[in-house]
Amino acid sequence: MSQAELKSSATSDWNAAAIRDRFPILKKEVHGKPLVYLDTAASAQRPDVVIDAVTNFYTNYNANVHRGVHTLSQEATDLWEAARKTLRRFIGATNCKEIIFTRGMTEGVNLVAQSFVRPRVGPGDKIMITAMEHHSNIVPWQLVCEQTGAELVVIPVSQQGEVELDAFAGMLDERVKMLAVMHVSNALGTINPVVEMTRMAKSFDIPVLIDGAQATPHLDVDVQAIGCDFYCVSGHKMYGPTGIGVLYGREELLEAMPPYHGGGEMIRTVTFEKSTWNDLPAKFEAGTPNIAGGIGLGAAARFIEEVGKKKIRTYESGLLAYGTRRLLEIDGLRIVGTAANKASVMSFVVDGIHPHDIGTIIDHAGVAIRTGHHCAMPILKQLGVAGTARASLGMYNTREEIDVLISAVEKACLMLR
Amino acid sequence: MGLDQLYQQTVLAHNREPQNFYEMKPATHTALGNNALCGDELRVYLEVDKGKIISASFQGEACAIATASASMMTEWLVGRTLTEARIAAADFENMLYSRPFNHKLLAGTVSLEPVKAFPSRIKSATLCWHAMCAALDGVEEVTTEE
Repeated sequence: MSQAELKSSATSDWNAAAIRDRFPILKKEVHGKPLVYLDTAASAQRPDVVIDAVTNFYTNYNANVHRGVHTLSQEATDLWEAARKTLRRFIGATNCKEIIFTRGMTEGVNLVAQSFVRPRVGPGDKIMITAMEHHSNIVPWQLVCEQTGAELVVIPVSQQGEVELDAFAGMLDERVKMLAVMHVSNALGTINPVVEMTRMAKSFDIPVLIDGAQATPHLDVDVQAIGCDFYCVSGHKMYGPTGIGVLYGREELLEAMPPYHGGGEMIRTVTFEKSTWNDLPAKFEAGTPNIAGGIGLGAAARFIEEVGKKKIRTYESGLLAYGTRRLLEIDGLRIVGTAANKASVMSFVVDGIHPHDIGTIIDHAGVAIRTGHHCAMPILKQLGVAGTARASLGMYNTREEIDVLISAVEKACLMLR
Repeated sequence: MGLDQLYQQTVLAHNREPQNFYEMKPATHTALGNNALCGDELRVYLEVDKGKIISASFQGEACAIATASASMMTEWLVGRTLTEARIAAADFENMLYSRPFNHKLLAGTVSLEPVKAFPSRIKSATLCWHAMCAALDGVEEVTTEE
């Protein structure tokens, strides 16, 4: 047993059955077999408290926020703003003006790209990302580069799936106007050294955005400890609803930025000659937001806090170590992404068997995994694979489920070889 | 329909030992079919003479369904007219989308019919047929991503 496995086994106060009970969907059967959900990196399942919060809102409090004087509208606004407070605490922001509700992580990156970076860059300037980024942290920057003539530069990643920090240090200069890096890789599971990378970038006064989509469900995230300027959160990756996320931004930067979307809510006054903008965070929340989604996300954050971020990390690390060890027992199986510091994700390929076939066959054993390029085509291409099979863990998974995965993959091998 | 029908022996045999799996040099017609979403990528080669397909081959990396389908298709194509090939491509789609199709015409490829019960795999099975049509049309690359 590895250190992580031993440590998690020693965690006697983790009650896997009680955790699983909180997720109604886990009682479902697929093809007559109990669902083994190993696709949390694509979208996590929702605990009862999130489902209840959304239902409760629509049943008892549904109204628009920040609009009416009537009681229902005030109650809806109170719940919405309470969710914002929860998210502020959850990621360690200073105040609620720094918590912008978005449609998801993708919108957060696009908002920063267009409102913060675009007006600040031109030909000769550089926007820096890593080679392992998700398409959502590549394409918004390519758009800005096309619009401004800035150049997208890419920090190399090793064959293990780790950022090459020496190369990164050598690439830093005063022409770099933005560093955007993922906290945890969805394709490989790598936990990037975001504290160190932010510190290195800051020595050149480079603003830093962290894509936290895969981090908040698994790690104890504190934006002030990281020291970043922007941090993007995805709701549905952290057991919350889809279509909702959070952009954290440092207040003075958000204050200085122009609005991203125009519309209702984000204005103070409107005339045909000129409109003026609302204060933070409303300035960046044009239109009626996903109110139920935000309230559900608040419930998800509280749920994670109640279970305990550190306990989740310890438990999942043990499960990841166990799963990795068991997978490697399969003949011809190779793990893609072998960084020393990982969370949740086991990406793998098996000699002579296409990931797509593995996915279909093990689905019939009730096992849900993702196959393909995981919206990270560049890094998979570098690692020499067109796609992988990816099992990703959440707090509800167990060793018994890993065992089901292993026998299902073994069966697929037997069938296809 | 179950897994055993999807991965029936004929399909598995074509996947293990694909027919006409080589790069044709020179080919009169060729096109790349790719479905990046699944990681399927294969190139179809044709030798066409006087409106007939003299030989057909393919190469690439794809799942068992896409590989078996290409293997079966390249066997089927030899000796066919271009019109027949195009009609069969359309009919192969009919088969997988549960529409009426000509069993006799598609003989040799109907072991892929069970794919119709696996919507996420239909694009794999049709990839080679799309690539074949693209080759005839002089299109370099075709994708079956939705």
